[in-house]
Amino acid sequence: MEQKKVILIIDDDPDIRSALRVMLESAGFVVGEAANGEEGLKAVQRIQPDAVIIDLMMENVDSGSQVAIKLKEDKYPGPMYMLSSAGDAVRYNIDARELGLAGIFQKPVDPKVFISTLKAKLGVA
Amino acid sequence: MADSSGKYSQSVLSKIIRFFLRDEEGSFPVFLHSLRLEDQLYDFTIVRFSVAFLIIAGSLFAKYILEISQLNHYALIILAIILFFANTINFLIAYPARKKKEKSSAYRFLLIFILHLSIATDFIFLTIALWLVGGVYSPFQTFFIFHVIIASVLFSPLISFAYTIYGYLLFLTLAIVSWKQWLPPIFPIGAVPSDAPPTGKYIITVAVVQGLLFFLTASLTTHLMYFLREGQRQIVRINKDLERLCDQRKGFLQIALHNLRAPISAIAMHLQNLLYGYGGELNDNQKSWVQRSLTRIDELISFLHDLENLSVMENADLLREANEFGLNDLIEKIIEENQDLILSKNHEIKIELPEGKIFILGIQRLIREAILNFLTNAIKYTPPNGKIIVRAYRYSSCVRVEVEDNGIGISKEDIPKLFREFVRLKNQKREGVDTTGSGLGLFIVRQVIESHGGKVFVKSEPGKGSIFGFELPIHIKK
Repeated sequence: MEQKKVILIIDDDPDIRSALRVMLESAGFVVGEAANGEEGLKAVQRIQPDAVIIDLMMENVDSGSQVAIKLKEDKYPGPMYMLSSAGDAVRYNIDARELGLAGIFQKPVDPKVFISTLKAKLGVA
Repeated sequence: MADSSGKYSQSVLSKIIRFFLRDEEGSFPVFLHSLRLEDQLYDFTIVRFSVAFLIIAGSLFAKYILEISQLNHYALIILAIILFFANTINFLIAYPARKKKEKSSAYRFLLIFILHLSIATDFIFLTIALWLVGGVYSPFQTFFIFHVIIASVLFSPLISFAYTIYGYLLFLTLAIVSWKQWLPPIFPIGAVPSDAPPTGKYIITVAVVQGLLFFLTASLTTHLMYFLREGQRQIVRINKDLERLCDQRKGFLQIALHNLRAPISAIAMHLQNLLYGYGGELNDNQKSWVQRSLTRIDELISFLHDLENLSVMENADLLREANEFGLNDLIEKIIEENQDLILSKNHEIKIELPEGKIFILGIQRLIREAILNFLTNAIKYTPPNGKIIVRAYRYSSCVRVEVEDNGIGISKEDIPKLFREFVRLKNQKREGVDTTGSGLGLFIVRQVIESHGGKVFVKSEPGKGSIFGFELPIHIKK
């Protein structure tokens, strides 16, 4: 049997984490959670997820970008996705390529698009 | 489009005045009414240069055209040259002072001193010039009144009256000197009616009439200036209050937006999970209710997004934040980052970019938002499996960016309403097309593009599709 893919969600909003967990688990992924950037970086080391979902605006403004930069520096091999709220992009310059992101999901995330994008990226049937 | 520069141009005269005396901002001339001391000094030096030239031109005109005899035009020209050079020193101090932001108290004292010195010496220059053109007989003696008015406009009532007394004493001295003939009398025939020395009675009459005129003028002008200054102070105070209120409103809006976005997103995502049956299958009624809730939440999110853009637009400082950026890259990035949105309706997307990179000077995140707005509208107003083209091309010294779709299109009557605030078009319902929105999106795009020196445009045909676009100046790399 194929090993289930692990997705790490780094977001300080427990409701967003919970909603994403439901979507991912329903699609057969294993989900890890972290409530801030620091916890997230440790969790990446510990659980070595296949993909990471990072919220742009956590405890500090733009801290999601900092997490992405750190993971890129640490040569994290999996795809990283940013979660941004409507309006974040116009207030803060987010350069997906520069941050090494595989994509940006706008909150509220559409489950169908979210799951199909992740499945395609991770080669899950 | 309204032309803001034309709001004062009611008459030819005002156009002429504006041309010669316009200030840096291009608003109506603040000739001698400036709040800033250095501006007052600067305005004053410009007037004095003109006076020096007018004395030379006038004396030559009187001598050679009007052929007025006994006119000492050499003395007048020398006087004008002295005035010109004295004024040049003032100009060299006043001009850089206008650009200087921080001024020490010593520097301000120097400016005040120069201003007073200029006015004091001007009264002396005028007295000498008056002596040269007929003294108490001279028709130019009313120029004393003009100087009294200038002093009253520039200074407080107390200082204005001090200058009035000073000017009157100089005039009185001139009258007595010409009566007693302590200095050789100069009476250019033609400019003055007689070359006979004035009598004592005439001197007394002139002294009383001129004295009354001096003090009445000073009194009237200082009163007028008092009311003007008081009005100005009130406007400044009200303006400060308005700015404070505006800042408070901006702060409140930002906090409100921030606090609204997170819970709404969480609610929407939980509802979507319900709808997708992740918590167990819903019956048809339940599905319909959840779907309706989601539709309303989408409207709210879209409205919050537009409010956010509006708030960002208000706070953006184009002069300070503008940077050069590549348009080709920006368009590619926008398409790349919004694949999920495009895929959600299964649209086919095509990008047409010009050869060679095009650069724009501006705030990239705002231009990005403008393009994204056109793109999301195209996605939204095109039924599933539609075709969208995002293109950019050179157009004279500008670049045009267009987003074309084969969506529902817009009627001819509705097109002029599109880029206005809070405009929602009617009769746009169609299968597979979500028409929710705040009515602010295109208004914001227009604000963004016009603030960057560009313009927006739209071509559309109902049932066939639309092209939304903007034009911006190309930035040439130096």
